[in-house]
Amino acid sequence: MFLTKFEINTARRGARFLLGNPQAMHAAVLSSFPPPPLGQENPRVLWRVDRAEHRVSLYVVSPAEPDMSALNEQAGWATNTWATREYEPLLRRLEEGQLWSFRLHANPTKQSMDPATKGKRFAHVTPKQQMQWLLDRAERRGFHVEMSGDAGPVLEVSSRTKDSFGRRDPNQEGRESAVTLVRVQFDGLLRVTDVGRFRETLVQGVGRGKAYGCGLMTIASADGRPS
Amino acid sequence: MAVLKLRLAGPLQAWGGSSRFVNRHTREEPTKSGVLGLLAAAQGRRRSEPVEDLVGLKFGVRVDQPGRLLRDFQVARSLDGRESMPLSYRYYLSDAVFLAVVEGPDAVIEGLNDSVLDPVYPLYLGRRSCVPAGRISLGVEGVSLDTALRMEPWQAAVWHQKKQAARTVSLEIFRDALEPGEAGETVRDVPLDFSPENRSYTWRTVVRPKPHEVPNPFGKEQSHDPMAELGGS
Repeated sequence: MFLTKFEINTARRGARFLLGNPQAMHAAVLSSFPPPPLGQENPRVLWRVDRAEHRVSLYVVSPAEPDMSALNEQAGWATNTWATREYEPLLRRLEEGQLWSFRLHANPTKQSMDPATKGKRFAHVTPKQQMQWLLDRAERRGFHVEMSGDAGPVLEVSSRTKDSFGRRDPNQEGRESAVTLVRVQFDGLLRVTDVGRFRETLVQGVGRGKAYGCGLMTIASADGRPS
Repeated sequence: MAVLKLRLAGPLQAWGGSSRFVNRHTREEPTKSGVLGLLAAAQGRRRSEPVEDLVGLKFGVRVDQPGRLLRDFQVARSLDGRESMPLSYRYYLSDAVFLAVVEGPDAVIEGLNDSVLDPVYPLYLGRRSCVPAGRISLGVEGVSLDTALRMEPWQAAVWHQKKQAARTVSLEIFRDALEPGEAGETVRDVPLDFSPENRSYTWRTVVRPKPHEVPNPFGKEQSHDPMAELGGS
């Protein structure tokens, strides 16, 4: 497994196009990998766009090492601005009971139980529901979310966006339809409870919308955060 | 020397530095003439009375909550409705909070504080329609102007603090030049005469020192660097 960080140059037209359309961004990310052998599906590639004050970075977790020069030409800087690191050393270092700070972009949804719309998926809207959605999954995903510390609540929904963008559906003869996607950024602290499942979570992602930049959880040192 | 600290907050404020004809502007921070006028009104001075003693006070403001610029297209008619008054554009700052500080001799500052607590004329924030919210005086202290501007806690409303994502917020400071020759912007807002027949102002140098940084209890900006665990990027 590999973790790649790519700095996006938002002044470029290509970058704006990609940031405005997750469908296009997903295609651009997948174009950084060679096609899979005949008869096999593309392996799951997770990606996420992180926005700090003036920086926009793309994170990618993938089974193969990406070559981002095409993406760099479209949305990068003059000098190559991506770095790829082996993910295995970190995955091997995981142990039960470890405390990590995490960030996750997710698409929290629920299935409707209403007979009129049974089976249809709806996004959770309020931060409270969205947090509950994550808490409901934490145990099965091999971690426990730390809920309170000295400095106030540790888990927070730090950004919520609702995107609408066009999508061409190959199953419907390439007709363009609109996709609406609620994307939530969770920041918090977690404790590893099941190493095997937690590794899977980091590699396979959480929730829906993985092709649209959701589901990728990354962890960093929990130094300086309440434990 | 002592300082009087004033909290200038209200739904609307207007601090006209320069206004001509039908465009009635506001600066983004309180003017010296506006605040001295407020103090003079508190003391019960009439507009025709001299304000030379107040002009000698040192003055500084801190922008605790910048507020938003609001443009009002004002129409008015005379009382009998026959004549229309000149149409004008009036600019206001909405939902702004400032900390204004004046420094001067102890006795003068104490006297001004008493006047603000028990004003003779109603006090307003730059324009008669702009009523202040909450108490204005934050008291007198025996420190310097610069210290007072950096010692007072952040006065912004909680909803404003919650809107700031950063964990530390920089508050801009505008103050009089304290030493001769200090570089700054010249602003014509020192009142010579407030009387309507002979209103006149002179210039002063406004210095913008390093903004004051305050911790934001509601800040939630977090740095998250997943590459750090993998040898850094």
